[in-house]
Amino acid sequence: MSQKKALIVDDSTVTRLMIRKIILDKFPNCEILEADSADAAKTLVADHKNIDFFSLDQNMPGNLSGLDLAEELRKSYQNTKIILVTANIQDAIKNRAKSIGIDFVEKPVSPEKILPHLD
Amino acid sequence: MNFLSPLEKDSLCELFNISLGGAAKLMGEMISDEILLTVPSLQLITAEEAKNIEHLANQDVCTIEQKFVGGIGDGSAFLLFHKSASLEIVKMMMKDYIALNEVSQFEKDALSEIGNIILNAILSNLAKLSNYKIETHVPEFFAGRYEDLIIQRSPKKDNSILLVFIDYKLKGKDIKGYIFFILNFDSIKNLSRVLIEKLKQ
Repeated sequence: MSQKKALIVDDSTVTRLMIRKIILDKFPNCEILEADSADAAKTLVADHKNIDFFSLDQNMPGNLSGLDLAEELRKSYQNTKIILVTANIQDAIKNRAKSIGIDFVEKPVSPEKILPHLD
Repeated sequence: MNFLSPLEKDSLCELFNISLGGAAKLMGEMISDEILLTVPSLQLITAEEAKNIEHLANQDVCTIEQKFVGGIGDGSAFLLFHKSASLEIVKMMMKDYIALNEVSQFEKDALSEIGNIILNAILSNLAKLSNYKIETHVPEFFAGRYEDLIIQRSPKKDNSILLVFIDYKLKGKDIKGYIFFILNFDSIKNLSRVLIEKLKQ
């Protein structure tokens, strides 16, 4: 993923920071975009083309959840890796993630959980 | 004062006991240390009684509140630390990600995220075990006097609070914390009824 682009969407600064570090440790040249809500993410997506990796939180301030955003992203990013990084491990969330075609990563984040999705 | 039968109390204790095992594992993962949990002590008390809980009355605390709505009723789950312990916990969580001198800048956010992870794990387990869906909100952070927290969060409806107090301790460190729930009495009764029905199946 060197010299490519990743978008991290999470209302927690520390989680964005942790995921950013995990990505940059493996791909130092990756351009990292960050948003603290789904609405802010949509603005970034409109301004940046060819994003190679999305990491989305589920519960964020605003009207859209991570899964709502993932559904919208899937329309224009059919084959791009999208992961839902969330503490909400209810089956309904996991099943909806699966139906959208995105991967589910349980918080707390760690390199072991994030790195397999970057290849 | 509202009343729970011994069977209702037992079923709720077991439910929280199971849910907390997973939460302790997660917290251990986050701070790279072992968490020692006590057996849940379940009390149904008034807001006035809650204000005078030993070790917390007159203390400065930090809490992360996770409000929830769903089949078991509306309520709030809290992760609570003594204020003096909070920075140490954040240091343990963030040590590989930021410089130690930057830790205090991230204190509120890091504690909120710890609360989000721990409380969501417990609530997800509650949902699974009771067969109810639970919707959670974005966690809210509070720092201040413990009494002020209880006064602000007391349910208006029937003045009952389910305090499932679980003490946890970080092995080898002088850091203690608590997890507790505020639910109105109808929700508590409903939850115990569902659990007892499940046990009979």
